[in-house]
Order: sequence, then structure tokens, then C-alpha cells
Amino acid sequence: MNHVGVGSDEVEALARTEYERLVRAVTMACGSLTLAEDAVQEAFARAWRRADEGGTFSHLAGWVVTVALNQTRRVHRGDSSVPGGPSERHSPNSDRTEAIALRTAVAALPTRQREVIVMHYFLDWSISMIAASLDVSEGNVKNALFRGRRSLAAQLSLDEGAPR
Amino acid sequence: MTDLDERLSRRFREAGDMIDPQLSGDEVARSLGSRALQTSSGVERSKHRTLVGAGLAVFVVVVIGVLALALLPGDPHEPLTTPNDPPGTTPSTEATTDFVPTGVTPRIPEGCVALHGSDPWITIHENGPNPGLCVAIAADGTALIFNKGHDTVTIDGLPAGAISIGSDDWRWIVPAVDHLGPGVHRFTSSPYVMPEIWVVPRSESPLATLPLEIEGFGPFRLGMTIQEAQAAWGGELTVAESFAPGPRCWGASVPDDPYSPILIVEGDGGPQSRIEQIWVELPGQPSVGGIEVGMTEDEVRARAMDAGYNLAQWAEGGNVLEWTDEGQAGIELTAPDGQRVLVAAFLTGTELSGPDAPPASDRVRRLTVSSPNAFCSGPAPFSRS
Repeated sequence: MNHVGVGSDEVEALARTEYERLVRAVTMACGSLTLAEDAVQEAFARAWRRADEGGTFSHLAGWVVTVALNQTRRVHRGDSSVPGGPSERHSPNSDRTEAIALRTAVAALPTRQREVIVMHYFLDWSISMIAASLDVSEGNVKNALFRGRRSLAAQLSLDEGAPR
Repeated sequence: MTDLDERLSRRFREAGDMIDPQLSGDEVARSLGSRALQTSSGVERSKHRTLVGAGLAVFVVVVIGVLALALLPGDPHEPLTTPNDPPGTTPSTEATTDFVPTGVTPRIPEGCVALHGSDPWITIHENGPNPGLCVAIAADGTALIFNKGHDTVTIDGLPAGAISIGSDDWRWIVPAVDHLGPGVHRFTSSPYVMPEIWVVPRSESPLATLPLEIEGFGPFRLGMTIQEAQAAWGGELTVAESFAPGPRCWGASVPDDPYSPILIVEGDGGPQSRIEQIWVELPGQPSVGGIEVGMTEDEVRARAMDAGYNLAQWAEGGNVLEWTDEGQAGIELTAPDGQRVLVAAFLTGTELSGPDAPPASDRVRRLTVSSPNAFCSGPAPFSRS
């Protein structure tokens, strides 16, 4: 994937439109909303600075998410937050139970599987884009996706089903 | 796309909708915009704070200040400065600490040099201690005191009492936390100067609990340049020029954290040198396959044969275990029950044949006396089977 120059105004535009969605994605990957907000803000700040200095990005949103995920790993001290903390939106109990079950299942996945799964199923990114964002091979992404998907299906008692 | 894919996508969307960030995208974008003014005036951002957090901190301080003046005239409460605030930072309130990243390097004393690896050496001789008058070591690690001088040196201050080390001889302090305990330790010594030893608890290092993964360790990813690794970490890395015998092989590490992994980089040692391998040599830091430094052969085999261990199956040659009969003695001291210990280090990395080689993790190595660091200069360190 080619790296292209991005202006700081484009970083601001991405923050305006995608910040909350990216925070949600990183929250599901790291388990902590507070940590995710810090990390995504930090990533946007770095992206802004990088853009301001003439740096390039293969995919801006992918870069922001990857830096944010790296940041959460860096500051994470093994204190996985319980999904569904006080700052989370009130919802009907059944929905909330399902959401907590999903996030608990995601939290149980190995780090790479967790990240790939969230990028694919929540951010709806393609395998090639995930591979480019994480700087790994597509085969690696497929492998992590396959394993993560299988684990989630087992933990959530979902049938794997046949491809359509 | 399968039915399961669709159901997972739906559940992810629903779960995501329940996560409610405190700030909106507009607020964050505005904070980024305000940064433009600071940049043009040459203000440098502190490496451990987000500019968004700093901008918001000022904003929150102003808002709280206005509210305090309006609602609580004469309130004696003053804004608190967080431990992360660099000197001269605008005081913030406790509320703003939510916006401050908590991942900071250990607060080892200024001038203290962090030693890395399982058996860092402290050399003392006529010309003084090396690497410095204060060294920081990991609590689970060891320290090796090597008397390189011509006279026997006596060191007092250890819990066990005074020790004497002959010329060209050495002593282990292992593990440091059992012998010394966390904190700074000062010694009296004669005729050579013994440095202070700062024992850093695991809880003080953001690097101490991260697992070694298939493609990296924490913010450090295989294939990154030194420059990229420094950007990801948010601070400088130290590159050791004489780390290994190969002319293009260097060891990089976080200078103020004794829990730093050793990043093996190939190149000229400059910013564009790339991370080829990552070594973790301290006990207690797990790999994705669950192998830790200090495990016995049986323990390694038990995990290696576990299906769940084969995370690197897709990578040809991944999960190769290799050891030789002649191990380095030092790591044996970490065995809790006197058993002979197998694992001296574990690592993830690529072969050195080229940048496209896939990474593989949990390749366990055992240090040997004959070839302790046979990387970067010769054939690949691991046989493929």
C-alpha cells in the first residue's frame, strides 16, 4: 500500500468524524474506555504532528488505530477493566447482557486476534487494510481472524454456519 | 460472508453503541486545531502527555476555576499537579488526570543507568565502576559484580554481610529482590568504588508485564526502524555498539527501564536500522505460548506440545525449540527447587536472511559458553526442523 501525504486538516477531519467510533473500537480491543480515550487522543495528536511535519500514511485511520493499540499495550498493566463500566450508555438489560458477553469473549482472545477481530467486525475493514495497518501479512490476518472467529463462536454459543 | 459473520458484525455494532466516549470528535478536532498555534510558536510537547490532554487540562482548569470563583468564593482548594506533570506545567485538577496517559518509564534516579538482560555486569576496577556510579536492575533479574582490578575488593552493605571478590573474579546477586529488596542500596567498598544499585520493582515498569508476541513486544514491532520504534515508544532508545560480534548487529533498549527487552537491530546502528529480533531474558515475562525464562525442559516440552501453543503455525519453522547440553550457569540459579533450568531466554524474530522472512516466536534458546551471541554475523541462530 502506498504511503501518501496527509495534511493536518485531514487529521482534524478524521477526528471530527471518526474519533468516537475509533474510541469504541479500541475500547473493545483493550477493555478500558478511559485507556482507549487516552490512547486515541494520543494517536490523533501524533498523527497531527506527523502530518504537520510532512509525514506520510498508508491509511490514516489505520495508522491512528494501530498507534492507539500500541499505546494501550504500553500502558496496560494487566488490570483488565470489566466491560460495561459506569461511563457506558444505559441500554435494555438484554442488550447489555449480550454486549458484555461479547466484550468478555473478545477480552479473552489473544491480543492480535482481539485487534484483528475488532477491526474486521466492528470497523468493517478489509483483510488487506488490516494487514497494512498492522504491518503484517494478509495470511497472518486471516489466521488470526479464523482463530478469533472460532473462539468467539464457541464462547458465545453461536453456530459457525456455512458460507453463503 | 457467513451467517456467523453477519451476527458477529451486528453484535459488535450493538456493543459499540453502548460505549459512550466522554468527548466528541468535534471537541478533539478543536483541541488538535489549537495545537497549531502552539507548534508555530515552537512549544515542544512533553513526550508523555497528549497534546489533547494538555489542551483539555487547560480548558478544564479554566472552566473549573470559573465555576469555583462563581460558586465557591474563598474556597481554599488549589489545583493539584499530577505526578506526570513536567516542571512548569500549568497545574491541573485531579479531574484532568483522566486525560493523562499513565504509561511512564520507571522513576529511576537521574544518572542511574538501567542494566538489561538476565545477567547484567557491574564492573569495578582501579578506574571506577562501569557503567556508572548508580545502576538500575530489575527486581527479578540478577546482577553480576565483576572485579576487573588487580586487587581483591571487599564490599559491605549486602544483607549477607561483607563479601570479597578476588581479582578477575565475580559474584552474582540473584535474584536481586531477594537479596536486596526494592529501592536504592548503597555500599562501602575498598579499594574500588562499588556503584549504588537501584532495584526497580516490576510494578513500576510498563514493560514488565507485557507478553512477547509473534510480531513484537509492546510498542516494539519486528521490522520497525529504530526511528519508528522510538516514535512508538515515545522516547529515546539506547543502541549498544558492541552488543554482538557481527558488524551489522546492534542491541537497542529503553535506557531508563531495566525491564526493557533487547531489540536486536541490523544495519549501521542508526535511525534506519531495523528490528530483527527481540530478546526477553527476565523471569516472569511470558511469551504468547506461555514459556518463561527459568522453565525446565519438561515444562517447555509440555507447552510446546500443547495445541494452543502453536500460534506461529502459519510461519514456516515457527515454534522451533533448540538447546544444547552445555548451558550457561547463571540462569540455573533461578530454579526454585534446584532443578536444572533450561530456558535462558526466549525471543521472537525473523531469520536474518531478509526482511520478508516471516516472524516466529517462542523459539527458546539456551545460552552457551561457546557461542553466547551468535547472531547477526553468521548463519541463522536456529535450525529448522
